[in-house]
Amino acid sequence: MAESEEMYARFSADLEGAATRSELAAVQNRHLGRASRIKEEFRRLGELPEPQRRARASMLNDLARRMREEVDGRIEAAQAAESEQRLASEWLDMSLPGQAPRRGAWHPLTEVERRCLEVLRRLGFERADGPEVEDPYHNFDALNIPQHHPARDMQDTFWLDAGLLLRSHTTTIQARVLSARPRPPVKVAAAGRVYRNEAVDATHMAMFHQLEGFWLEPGLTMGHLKEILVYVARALYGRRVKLRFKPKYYPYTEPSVGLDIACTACGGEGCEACHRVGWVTIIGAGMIHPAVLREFGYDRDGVRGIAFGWGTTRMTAQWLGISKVRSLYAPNQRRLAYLHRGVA
Amino acid sequence: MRISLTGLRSFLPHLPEDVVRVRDALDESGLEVKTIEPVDEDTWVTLEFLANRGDHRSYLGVAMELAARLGHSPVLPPVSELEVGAGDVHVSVESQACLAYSLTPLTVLDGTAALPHEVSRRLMAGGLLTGSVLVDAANAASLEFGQPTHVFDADRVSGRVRVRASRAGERAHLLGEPKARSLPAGLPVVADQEKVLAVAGVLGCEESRVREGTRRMLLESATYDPVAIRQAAAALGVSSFASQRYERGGDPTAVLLGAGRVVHLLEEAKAAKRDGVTRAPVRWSSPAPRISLDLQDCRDLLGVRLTLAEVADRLAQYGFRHDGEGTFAVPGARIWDVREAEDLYEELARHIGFDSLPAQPLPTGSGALLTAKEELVQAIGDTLVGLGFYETFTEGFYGRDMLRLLSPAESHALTGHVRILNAEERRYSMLKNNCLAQAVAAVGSNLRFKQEDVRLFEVTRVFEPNAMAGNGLCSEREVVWAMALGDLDPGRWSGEAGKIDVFFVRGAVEELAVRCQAVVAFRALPEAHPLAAFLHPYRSAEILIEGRHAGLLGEVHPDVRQRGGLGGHRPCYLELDLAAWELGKEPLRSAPFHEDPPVERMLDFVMPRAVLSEEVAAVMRAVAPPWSRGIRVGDVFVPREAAPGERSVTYVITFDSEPARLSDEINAQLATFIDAVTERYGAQGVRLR
Repeated sequence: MAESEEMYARFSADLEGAATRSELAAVQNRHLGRASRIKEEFRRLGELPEPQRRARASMLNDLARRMREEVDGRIEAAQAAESEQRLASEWLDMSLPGQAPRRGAWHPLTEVERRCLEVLRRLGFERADGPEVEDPYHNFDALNIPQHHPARDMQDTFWLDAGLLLRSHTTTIQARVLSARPRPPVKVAAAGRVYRNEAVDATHMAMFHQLEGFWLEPGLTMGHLKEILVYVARALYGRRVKLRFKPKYYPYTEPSVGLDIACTACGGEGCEACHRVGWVTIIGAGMIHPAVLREFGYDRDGVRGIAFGWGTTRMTAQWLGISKVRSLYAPNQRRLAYLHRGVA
Repeated sequence: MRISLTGLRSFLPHLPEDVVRVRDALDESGLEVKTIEPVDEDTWVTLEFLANRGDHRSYLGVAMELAARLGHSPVLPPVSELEVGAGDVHVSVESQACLAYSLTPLTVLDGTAALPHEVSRRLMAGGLLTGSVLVDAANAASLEFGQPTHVFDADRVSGRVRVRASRAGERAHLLGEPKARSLPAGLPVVADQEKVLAVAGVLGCEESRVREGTRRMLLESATYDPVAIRQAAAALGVSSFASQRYERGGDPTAVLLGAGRVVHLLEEAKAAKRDGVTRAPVRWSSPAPRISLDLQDCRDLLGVRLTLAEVADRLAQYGFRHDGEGTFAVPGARIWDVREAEDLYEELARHIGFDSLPAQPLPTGSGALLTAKEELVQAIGDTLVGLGFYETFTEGFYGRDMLRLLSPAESHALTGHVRILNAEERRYSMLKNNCLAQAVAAVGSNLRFKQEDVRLFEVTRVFEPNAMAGNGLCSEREVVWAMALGDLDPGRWSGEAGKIDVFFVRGAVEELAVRCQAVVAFRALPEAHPLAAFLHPYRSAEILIEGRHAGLLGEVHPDVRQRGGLGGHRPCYLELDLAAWELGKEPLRSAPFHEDPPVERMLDFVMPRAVLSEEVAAVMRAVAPPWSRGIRVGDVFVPREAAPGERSVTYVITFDSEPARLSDEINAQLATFIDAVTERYGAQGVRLR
């Protein structure tokens, strides 16, 4: 036993003096390795008679297990400490911002326009396009706005050479599509820039964006018009939006209606935020005027038309909660980023 | 127009006290409420009228509309009945534009008399109170009945009053203007023997206006053709209460009613009395227009099962008289806007209330798909957005200031523009024929706001003058432009971020090509291209798809940068011709995929400016074996003391690793590459480094 104690004491002393993983490994090797004394003692066991051999083997096994446990524990602890030290040396200030390349963004106007077109596509309206440089026929006359009609005042026009003009509304696309005399049903969505000869200020632009849809088919009614407008309004503004219809005047529709949504602050009662008017018109619409149907030869077979549209510039401004639409048209990257990320 | 609710109550005694109810009823009637202001004991409401409803522009018009909606009856203010005959007033109507005309002579008793308080209050709310009882009475009748009236100082009228067309060179000193001006020939005017008294239906004149000392007056009440008045007002650049009413259609049957109201107000106030009979040389004698309504069609459209009696009852409340069998006589105030059956359907819909009309389920159908162009634009935009670009919108026009950024020579293709004729003096006098100028301006404005990292793009169109175009004026070319400036990785705070250069923009095009499944090529931008002069001549390129022009890219020319105030910043511009691009649907595969990792080798050639890296690569590709996978540029290095343009280009050449090849075979192939390049370009100075 004294021998075992003596071997253990040497081991303990060496272990005490070791700190690093390599020093501990050296202790492990010295006391438990192939050239260690205990291994030597194990090799000699065969020289002993049976009863002695068994007792000595048991003693050596106990001693080896004890030393192994102790040195393994120390090595494990040293490994953990070293690992911690290494990791600590790799400390980073994780409060620093990320460095991945950032995406840009589509303009909010485009996002709104897309959302609207997506809703219309669900209803079967396919996109059509038309020129921005128009003739008075497609901009006015074909749409039941004859010369000297007061409605021409509603759309002060930019005039170009050759009697042409910049389209003042996207309804020109209705005239363009119908002038090709497609067979009903015709379901078309149109969107794009329009131009008005107005004094430009923070809330008025000489160029802005509109979107509209029109539908020709025998048997369409005011009921269909209402259904479609409610669907579109709810798809864009949510199911709970409070709606109302009211009379409007557009030369190219008869009857004409406006779809209002209630002020979100007062629910339509009238408050300071809405200047007590309670409601705001979001969509202008109506049954396509018989004069327009006649113009394109659709005054037959019970064909009626539905048309509706709105200003996507205004809708975007509403969505973003901004009153000065001019800022939407400034190529200011900081502002564009702000609109998407919420920080300048 | 701003109206007083207290004033309106005189016409509609049962008008609800609840302002919200009144507001809703107005809105439901097509009288859009813009503002509501409490003023003392009263409430003022600003209304926006429908553009086709001239009859709404008065208290009576508003009251009639509300009465029908609320189920009440309007009350008409008292009116003096006028005796029409041949009196001492000499008047003749010689203009077709005048549909009805009357003149009533009056003697002024007391020019300081006061109109009833409620009348003055209505005038005040409408901003029409002048303080002259004679003028105010005329204005009050106009405001109350929607029948414009005007008063002349009879002692300043010489001889016969004539309603005629203006003559060439004729002048008129319009009310409120500092001096007389020439009138275009052919405008309807009211004139005496010497001068113009008024531009008919638009504005009176200074010489004949009533004054403090006016003792005798002529009260005019008339109706004119809407188009004639619209043209006159537009020719003069004047818009008056009367012209606004007439342009939208006056009531030719209400001429004497309006004059009778003025006479009543003046006589009641003891301000004036009639001085003879009313002369009415032209009176409206046309029968009321009649419209037949198809009851079944009406029911189908509105979705409401109305009987003819119900239809007649509802329309009667708007003044339409049922002549039997579904035919209705249109009241005088509505002859301009009610012309066919659908107009009557609208009257019925308004009376029922658009909110009360039933909705109807839509016929089912399949949804629509994105068009090819929508898909293409979305793919291009999404790619640019992924590369950090923000979409922006610039205007379709600009002014000379904007074009000065480019300053094209007089004979340059960009000098010609489609002009905006009625905005020449403004900052949008011409349609844009390029996007570069606005892109440079956008960079400039960002730099002024200390935003030095700029990545913007726009999907737009340019207007290129072209007499051969379908419209005989211009072609509209759809483009996507993008402009980039600043750090390659603006968010980087560690290490050095590189700067954007033309190769970043070219990389964007290559990404777009991958997204669109297109094969793009680049070559030097031809000098003849309209934008070539405004891009760096040695840092610009034309983009080709299948050999056709598909766009361009380049660093902005230093002269343009300088004019744009961009300092040392070097923005890079990209423009894609949308018509040349399409979104491929089939996967683009130039070679089969190999599972085995490639064997890589590098060759480094020093080459002079005269030889392009792509030319050297093309020579190697031409002699590459089938087991070669690709040749790409891995590095470009400019050696010390290199000649201008000289650089060393490292090509990374990849080979199949299966079946395995001996190094000797690969090295032999590399030698083949070297020999081919040296043979082709050695004389020009290309050498292996």
